[in-house]
Amino acid sequence: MKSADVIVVGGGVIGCAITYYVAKKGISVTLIDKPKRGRATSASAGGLWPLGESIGLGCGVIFHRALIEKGLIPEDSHVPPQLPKSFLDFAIQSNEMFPALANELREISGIDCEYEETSLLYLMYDEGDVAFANTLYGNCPCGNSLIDWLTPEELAKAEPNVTRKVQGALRFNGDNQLNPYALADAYREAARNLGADIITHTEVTGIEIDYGRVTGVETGAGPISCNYLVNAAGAWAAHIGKMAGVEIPVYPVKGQIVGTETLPKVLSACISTNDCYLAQKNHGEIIIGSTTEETGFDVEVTPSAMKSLSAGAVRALPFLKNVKVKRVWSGLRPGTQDELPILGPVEGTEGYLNACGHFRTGILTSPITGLLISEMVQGDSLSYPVEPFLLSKERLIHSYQS
Amino acid sequence: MKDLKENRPGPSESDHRVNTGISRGAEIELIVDGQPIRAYEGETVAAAILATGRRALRTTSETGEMRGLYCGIGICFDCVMIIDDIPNVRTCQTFVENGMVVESQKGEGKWSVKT
Amino acid sequence: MERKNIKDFQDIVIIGGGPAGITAAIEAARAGVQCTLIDEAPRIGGQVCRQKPKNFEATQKENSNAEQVRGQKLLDEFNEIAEPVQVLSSTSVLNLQKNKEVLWASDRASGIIRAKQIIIATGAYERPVPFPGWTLPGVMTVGGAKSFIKTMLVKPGQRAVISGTGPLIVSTANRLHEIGVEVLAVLEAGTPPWSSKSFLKEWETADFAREIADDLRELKQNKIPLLFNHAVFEAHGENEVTGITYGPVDADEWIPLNGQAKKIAADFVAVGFGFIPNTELTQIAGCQHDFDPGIGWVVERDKLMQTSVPGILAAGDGAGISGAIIAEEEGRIAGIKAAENIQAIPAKEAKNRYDRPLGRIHSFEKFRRALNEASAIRSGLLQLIQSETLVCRCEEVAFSEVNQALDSGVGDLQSLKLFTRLGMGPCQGRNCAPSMGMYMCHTLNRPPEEVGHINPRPPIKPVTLGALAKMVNEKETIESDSFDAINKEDIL
Repeated sequence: MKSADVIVVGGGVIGCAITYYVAKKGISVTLIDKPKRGRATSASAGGLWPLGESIGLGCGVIFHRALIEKGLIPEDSHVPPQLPKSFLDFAIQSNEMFPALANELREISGIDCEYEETSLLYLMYDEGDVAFANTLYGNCPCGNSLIDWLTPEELAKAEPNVTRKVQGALRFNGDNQLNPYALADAYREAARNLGADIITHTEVTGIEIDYGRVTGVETGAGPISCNYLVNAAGAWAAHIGKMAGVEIPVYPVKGQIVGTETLPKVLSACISTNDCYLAQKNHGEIIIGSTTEETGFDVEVTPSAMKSLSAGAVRALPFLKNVKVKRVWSGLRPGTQDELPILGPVEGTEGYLNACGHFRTGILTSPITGLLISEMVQGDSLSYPVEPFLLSKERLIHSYQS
Repeated sequence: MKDLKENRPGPSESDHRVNTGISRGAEIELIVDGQPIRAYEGETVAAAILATGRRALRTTSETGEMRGLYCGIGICFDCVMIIDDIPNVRTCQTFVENGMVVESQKGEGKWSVKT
Repeated sequence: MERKNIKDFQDIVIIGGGPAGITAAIEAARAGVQCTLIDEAPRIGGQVCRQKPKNFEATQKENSNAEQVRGQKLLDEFNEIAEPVQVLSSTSVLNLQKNKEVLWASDRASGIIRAKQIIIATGAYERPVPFPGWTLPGVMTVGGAKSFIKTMLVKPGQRAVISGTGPLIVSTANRLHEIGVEVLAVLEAGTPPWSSKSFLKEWETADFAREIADDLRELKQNKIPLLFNHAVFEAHGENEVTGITYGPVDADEWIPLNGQAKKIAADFVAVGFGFIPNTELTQIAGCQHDFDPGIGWVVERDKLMQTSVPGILAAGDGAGISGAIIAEEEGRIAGIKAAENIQAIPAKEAKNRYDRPLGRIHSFEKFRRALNEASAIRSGLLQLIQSETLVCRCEEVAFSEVNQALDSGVGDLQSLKLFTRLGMGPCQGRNCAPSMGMYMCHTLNRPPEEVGHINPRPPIKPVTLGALAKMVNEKETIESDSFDAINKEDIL
């Protein structure tokens, strides 16, 4: 029978990152992956926005506005909920790993993940947005040292293609971007070069447990024994957890995304507005995201999403009106009720480790997640306290109450 | 072609149109790479340009080779040019308008961005 | 510029305004149902009955051939009966949503029409066969060339060579000759039955066999040589075609016999090796498809044009290559069946209506089969491709890159796309997937089901962000000069 010290289930960005960091420690590791339609890594814009995401920009503010429009929350609640400080620090620490990681991965895998220091701009269209920006500027959990308030004139100078119909913009320094596909590929190929075994197009069909301890997995290509099993199955994590008798409150949250034809460089920064976010990638395509929909595993793209994202993009960058759409697609984020990832061991099932529930921030938090899991299997001290992200009873109960 | 050359000034001198048995729409003018050319309402941009004898319409972004009208039915995207400041417009599917400004596209083309 | 509202709810939506779409609309209108016909061109007709621009007028009586007569008859019938049909011309369909929602877009706007039945009649495009120099200006597809000269009356070159297979290469040569292009030769890769006297005699009562016979006679009158088992091997030129190399191919597999190749001066090459159905919409709708070795992927249908998805019918060359005459009959059947499916006409009446077209299709079946077999693509032509030949025109992927991918274990088209970017460009793989799919089947000795296809993804046609941002419903008036497919004079 085949065997590996560590088996990672799921070949999205999280699974690939873990495989890389585990292999880097010289531990034998096997990645098992069954590509599925709707993988979130393929529907990410590749924004690395620790500040933005933590304070509700990116998808958060778009979703918040949609809730207001549907009458689900009051109209004057223009501030989307912020994530706890423990997450912001986690995200910032992960973000700081990228410059070195990008070089390291390029050296080991030969793949450039196209890491770019762009900053993130929040556009203020109206008084409500200004009020929101004021709250952010005044009360950002990390202070406002990383935030610049841009007047309309300053914005026009920095981003001449952005609409002039703005009250100003907030610039979040340190919020950057990369190419999410290239990142996942680079992790995977680097891991392979470090000796990891990568098994693709193969489904995990069962998990072997002996006396409360994971001993191996059943797969479409035969059984494999292991000491550790890492559940990095993204939106499908609950399904894998169930095989190990572990209940995981992760559910698919659809995000639709629009990609344009290739354009010359027209944006220096990533843009976040109440309608959409925009990021121009290295090869010229602008990615426009994204919706937040709880519609199960359905991946259909919808006219209403195309309309709202396109309208939002044209509002932010009026010249996009004449730009052609290359494709529209969707991905299933691994959603959690508290919007925090689920990491680490669970009581009662030894050798089982969670690395799921990364919701909107899987690309951003992939380095720290990979590093933490590798430290757990090695028995090293952890680079970041995992307690806030453990699957505690309280988190389980909380997710069922909501 | 000699007979058609007469009385036609400028770059639209040679005319590859068939002129017997057909009357076209109103005569209009396009600007192609800065030069005026004659066209008729109802023609596609590709037809008006090919009528001048020119067939290479753009260059590609990787190898820089020339491309022209290929499928003629709008599926191959080889005949794209910059029309009124918008790149990647299929000339085989776009009808001429008086004063239309057409430019050869190099690679991805140049967007002139107006806000 | 007129202002207009687009009706949102329709009994039947027909996609494609060629012969199949037109007859489907005629039958739907005859059944009295609410029907919309969506077509990409500014005027309906499709590739075969392509109409000249509105402002072009013949100043003398045109020397109409059988095909033109047939096309005109069809348009006359449409104009007579289909006035209630909502025609959206210059309009593309971007996606079929669940629950039969058709997402359409024009230059300026977009919208959704909810249909009870959808008839997909999206026609075919020409099978691309890569060869050295096929990306040079001056190389065109034969159908594209024919449609271009018929509608625009502009000469695409001075000295032409036509290469390919099937009757279309002959009629295209005649049309080029007619407008004053010197046609040096017609190179037919096969030895087709349609060129034999006995075959044509057998079918002399069938209108399309008569059209072929007429075209062959005309070719002879025009003194254009027709060479069997020959093909263009290479197009030469710096910035456009200035010469070609051509030569014989072996009769069985069409393997180029390079030793006997000749080079001649020519500035125009039209190439056409048969057709491939546009299956993007039937694929997106989730219909079952089968692989036909001579054609490629074809949607599965019952004899009343119904696909495996209830309420979605497919007719004409988009559902299998049978040519315009059969497309007309298939369109009628689809229109009648769709009307019956929504109880607009009783089953018995429907049967009365579709029996005749069914009979016509049946009577031509043997002929079509013979024609399709004769013009089925043979793998020997793939030997024309050199390592530096660009097999994906959009993303400029060279043949050598495909071979590298295959060497590193790539075994299906979808993986080839990820590996090389082949098929990622704006044509969505239409111009590379058929030839490279065939190449992979042969080189890797894998069945087409395993090699697969490049999955179509919405939007399947180009659309601007501005048009998507302006997604209207029927209460919103849009400014449009694009929905005037039918001249008012045409209707009166």
